Amino acid sequence: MSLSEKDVFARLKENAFHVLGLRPSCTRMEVEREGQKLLAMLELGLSEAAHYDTPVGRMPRTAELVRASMATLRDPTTRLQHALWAQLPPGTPAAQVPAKEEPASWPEAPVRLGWRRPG
Amino acid sequence: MIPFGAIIGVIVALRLLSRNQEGQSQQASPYATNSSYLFLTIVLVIPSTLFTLFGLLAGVWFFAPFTLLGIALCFPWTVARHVFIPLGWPRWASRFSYLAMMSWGSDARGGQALAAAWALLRARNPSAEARAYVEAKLEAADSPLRGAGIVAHGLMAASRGDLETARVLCRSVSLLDRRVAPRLARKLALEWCLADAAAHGRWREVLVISQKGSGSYSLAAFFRASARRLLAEPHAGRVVLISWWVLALRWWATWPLLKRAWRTPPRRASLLDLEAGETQAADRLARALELHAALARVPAGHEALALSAAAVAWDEALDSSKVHDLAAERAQGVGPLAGAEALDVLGDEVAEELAAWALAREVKLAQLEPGSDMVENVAYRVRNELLERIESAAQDMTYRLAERRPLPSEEEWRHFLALQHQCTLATSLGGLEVRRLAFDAVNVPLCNLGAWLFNERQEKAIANGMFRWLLEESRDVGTEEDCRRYQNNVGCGA
Amino acid sequence: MATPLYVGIDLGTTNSTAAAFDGEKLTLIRNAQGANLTPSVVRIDARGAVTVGDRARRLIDSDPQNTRSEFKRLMGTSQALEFAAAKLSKKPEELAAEVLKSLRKDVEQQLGVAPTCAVISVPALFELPQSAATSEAARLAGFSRVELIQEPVASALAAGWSANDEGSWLVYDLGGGTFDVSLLETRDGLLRVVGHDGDNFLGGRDFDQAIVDEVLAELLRTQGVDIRRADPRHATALRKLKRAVEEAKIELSRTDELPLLVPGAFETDNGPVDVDVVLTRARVEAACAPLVQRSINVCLRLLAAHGLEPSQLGKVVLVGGPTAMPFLRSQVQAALGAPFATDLDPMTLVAQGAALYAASSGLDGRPAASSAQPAPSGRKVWLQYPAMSSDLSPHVVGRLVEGDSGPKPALVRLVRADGGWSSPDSPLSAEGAFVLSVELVPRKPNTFRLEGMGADGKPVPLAPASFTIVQGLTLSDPPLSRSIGVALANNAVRVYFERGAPLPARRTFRQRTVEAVAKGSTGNVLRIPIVQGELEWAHLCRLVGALEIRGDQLKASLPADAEVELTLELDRGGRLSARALVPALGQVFEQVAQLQVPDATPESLQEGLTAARERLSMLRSSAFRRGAPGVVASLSQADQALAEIERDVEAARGGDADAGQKARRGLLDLDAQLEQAEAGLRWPELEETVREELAVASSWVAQFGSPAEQTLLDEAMKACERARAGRQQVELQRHLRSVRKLGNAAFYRHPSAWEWQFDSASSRVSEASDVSKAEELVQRGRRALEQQRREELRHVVEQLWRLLPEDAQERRLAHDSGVR
Repeated sequence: MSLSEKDVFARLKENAFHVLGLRPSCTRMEVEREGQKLLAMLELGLSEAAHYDTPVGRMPRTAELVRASMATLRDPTTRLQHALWAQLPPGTPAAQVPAKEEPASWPEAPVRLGWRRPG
Repeated sequence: MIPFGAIIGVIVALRLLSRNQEGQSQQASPYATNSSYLFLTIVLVIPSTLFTLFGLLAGVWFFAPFTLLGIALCFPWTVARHVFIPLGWPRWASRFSYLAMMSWGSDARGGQALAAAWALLRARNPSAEARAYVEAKLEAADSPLRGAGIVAHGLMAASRGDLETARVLCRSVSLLDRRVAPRLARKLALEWCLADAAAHGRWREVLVISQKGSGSYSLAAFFRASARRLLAEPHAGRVVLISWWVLALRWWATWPLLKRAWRTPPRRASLLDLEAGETQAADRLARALELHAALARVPAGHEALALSAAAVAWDEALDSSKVHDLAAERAQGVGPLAGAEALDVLGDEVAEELAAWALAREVKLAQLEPGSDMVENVAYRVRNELLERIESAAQDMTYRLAERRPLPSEEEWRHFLALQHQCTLATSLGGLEVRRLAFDAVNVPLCNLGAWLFNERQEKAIANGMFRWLLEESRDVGTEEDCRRYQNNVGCGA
Repeated sequence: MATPLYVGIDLGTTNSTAAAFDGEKLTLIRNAQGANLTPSVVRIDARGAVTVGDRARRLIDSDPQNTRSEFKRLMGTSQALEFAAAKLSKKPEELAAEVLKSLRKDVEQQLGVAPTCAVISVPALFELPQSAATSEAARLAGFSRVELIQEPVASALAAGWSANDEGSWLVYDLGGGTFDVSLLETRDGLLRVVGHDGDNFLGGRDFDQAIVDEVLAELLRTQGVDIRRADPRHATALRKLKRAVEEAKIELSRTDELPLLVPGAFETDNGPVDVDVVLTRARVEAACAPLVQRSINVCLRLLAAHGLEPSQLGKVVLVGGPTAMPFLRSQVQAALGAPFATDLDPMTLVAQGAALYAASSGLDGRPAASSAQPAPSGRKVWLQYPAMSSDLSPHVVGRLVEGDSGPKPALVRLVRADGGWSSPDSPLSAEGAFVLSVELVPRKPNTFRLEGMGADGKPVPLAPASFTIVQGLTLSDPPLSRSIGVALANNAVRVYFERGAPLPARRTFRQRTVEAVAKGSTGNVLRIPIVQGELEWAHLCRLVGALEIRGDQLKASLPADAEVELTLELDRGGRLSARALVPALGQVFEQVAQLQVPDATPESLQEGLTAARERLSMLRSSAFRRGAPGVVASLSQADQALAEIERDVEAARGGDADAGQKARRGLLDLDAQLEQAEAGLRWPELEETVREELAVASSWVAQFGSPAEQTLLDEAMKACERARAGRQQVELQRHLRSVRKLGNAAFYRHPSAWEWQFDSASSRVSEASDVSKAEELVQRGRRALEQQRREELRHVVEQLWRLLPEDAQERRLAHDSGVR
């Protein structure tokens, strides 16, 4: 029982490089510098730091995530793993295309059929 | 003068009488409809109403209120359904529903609870008192729990905002023996499920529900026709749609759906669209990642194809010497084997992600492209996950049975439904092999649960529902003994 | 600007130390006696007066009932310590709080300020409850904010602060009660803990114990007196002997031979016995050698785990009192080869590192009132910058505080106070914010002025007008020492925080319930056990807490397979909180039950020991049978561990609670070892079973099965083959069950099947839970057999089976988890 919905795309969504907005070729010092800057910006609530892009869309950035990402990239072994997943840059055109929608829902169905009070 | 006081007196007397009889006579058929009110209606209410009607026609205006009351007493369910339930008055809805005992067959108490729960669902700001009243009605419907009672519990869950439970319960009525699941209850459950699925845009579910459910054939057929058009299924014509709309007789209620389904269905997104923008990926790793990320945008119906494509791309990427070189380069300073190890870990991570996705999107494993290592790996993980869930739930049920820890009847039924749902899901994804293993895992605990409910707790309706499902399973994947046992058990009645 | 005060405390098993750092230099705090080390000993006399440190330690022999030491090892357990004269019982964290209070007072005396914040060091392998207890002790001692740092990280930070070379280091930290070894790496001014290992219960104390054992053995040899640690009569005398040995040990690093005389030490049935032996350096070394070797093995294991050879080490840092022993130094040197960092004081290094860490996490200990500046004039700016930075050009981010009046600057710039650097003028963003990178002078506090300019070019005063960044080695977040996760119903662990994850941390996962909880029932509980450890099976990890959802708290019943959103949160002090949201009910549950190291009663330990012994012997015979030399070798290690645990259990029976805890952990580790060994044996065993059962089932199904069953069996056999080829153990077991079932069904169609089953069940009557009832059933069965009543025979057999023992149940292992 190790699979759950939360895991789907977790490795793309929570990739340490994407979180810090860096590429796999960056140096260790860049990781620290960028992380420290993002933490400071998040603390001050600057909108610029509030989101980051991934190949599966835009995600909200939190201080915990930034700290965890820094720790990930400090350790060469985990960094290597994240570097492989980060091989695809977040800005690929495919990432911006929204998912093809299912046919629209009919939200007033329960009201119309008498299962809910209107309004 | 119309003796309405007397009529009500007779009702009460009959009610008391029927209660006494229940206590005394065990021989009465368990599926019999309580027809005391019908008798009363024919003998007393209809003649009196006719009498006042004639009086009214003769110009005696004094009779007008009595005529109205008489008509109301002749059609109690109509009054409950169209007056008290929309008003959100659980008490009155429940009382009139009691008079409509004919419509509820063998589950009159369940019917009362259902009407009360429905009225509560419609109430604007239900008071704590109203809630307590409905809960008391539900409790009364619990021993034994039958079809209408189950739907009532479902509606109550919906009024709490717990739609998931409501769905599970309302859909489960189709598992019961029809003798203990009155047609009206089945019809209402079906309508609620259809409305709920449509409201959440789950049109594929609408197709399934409308096929499985019973009690309201033409409305279900209309929903099915609409869903098929909305999903742009082949041969979903307008003639069928409009015919079922007319036959379903709910013209005003379903008009917006008709309008929507009538319009030309949108062209379906094909997977080719997705691939067009992605061919520029230079190396295999990026290509695999791109197809992997593209899964986030795969439209329903194309899952198996997209998953196979991603899996094959991963096979190629993980075998490619260029990717190995890249990993080795990135692994400098970690150790000589780190690059290859990292790729092994990557393979596991990918398989885990793909399996989690396949599970979330309910991809049928048999449709995946055979021959790919990654596909095999993913399929194994999905199968294993499905079976582990079932095994652990079955284990839990075994413990509960061993400790003889009873749950309220409705929850016993839900406990079974949770397991049954997991088995159904496992079968639909994993095919016959998984079905066999799942059945092996749940066979004993479910049979024991059913026997306990049937023999010791007199919950025959739901126990019978369980045996019916087990029989169906054992016919396909059980031994002869299993089949025979469940045939016997189902034959014991509900 | 007044100098900041960063306080670090090394709360040790035997001694505690405090150090302070002001941004430039480190100061060691002296206690009232003028010493750097304060013994971690607390005495409470009959009037309830508390004495801490040296004065308390002097009374530890003469008044052991009212004087307590070494309580650090009991942190996080429910074990209370009694003070007989004052009739008080204190929890270990309360005693630790007394020591912290005394250190806090020393800081106040020396520096004039009672600190409100501090960093306290804890052993690297401390578990969550132990960390939480340490935080609690600090709170009791009057610290309003406290952070914990692992001891090896602290010593490395202190060692790195004064050194310039980069590379890999090993910190060998042998304390009074614990042994930690850490592998560290410095690169680009950044310190990274590569990994650590250790023995939670190997310390200087064990060296003393080894010498005491040696002395006792001598007594047995020369005088024929058998003194056992398990005998509570000797507890005081043993303590006295230990003290004498401790002193002799220190003395022996200077001389070769020393007489040890404790007259009338032990009361025996034959009268008092004197201890009069001559200790030689060689004998002491021989007694301690296995312990030193054990510590070296841990070091080598750690190096091997990270693919390093001892020769690749740049330096070894020794920490802790026992590392002063020349014999130990020479052995470690010989084994590891790397030079020692000689200029560092092994006794105070940890406290110094903790103080440095307080600076890098900006934990200024000055109370709010004294650190508050007179309200500065100017437009208020909210600034974010690292108090300490290893980066030579960190970022400074600022934002105008909204709602503050006064002229608004259009441009800002930063100027270093020494005039050596200034930033370009930077315009403010639409949000009133700026992000600037500054340049630091290495290894110095750098003060910067913040200057604002209006649109007209005139200066605009800003508050604060200046701030300081210290450049030096830093460590940004304390890493978690062991992974934390939730035990699932199938005995797996869902890891929420990996080892090394930075604190604070917070994570949410969606789980599903496996059992229903009825509304209103008090006995019906859904447990979500939280475990710590690196092993994949929950029962092998340590249970550190449990979230419980009780029936009587529920608004509506919780069905099986309901979704639960579980969030675990860890703060920097290692305090764990958990909350479970049940979306279907819209209800949140937050009570974390039982955040404690479990008690180790001698009875439960004995039980565990017996079970482990049995398991070991079974494993050994099965390993020999299968000829698995690897497994046999690993079992000999387990043998040694078992012997050691046996000793500790015996000591626990003599009233040594600490040895009990040690034994408890030892048993858990042993379990893990045996589990691994079993896993190595399981696969061949399973393969053999599958082969056998397939043969049996196919013959029965061929004789008595229906065509449909034959098809099912063929399919199952194919699946078995596939699972076998892929070495998928669980899958194979699953198909095996299926095969077995089909085979069984066919088997029971044989006319004599129940007769055979009856024979086999009646031969096991002695194992039944109710033997007399079983015998009665056997009689009934015999009659039924004679009269050829098959149905009744079957009924009897089924009833008999119910009385016979069943196999162990997996979920009971997994801390009774109710989620998956």
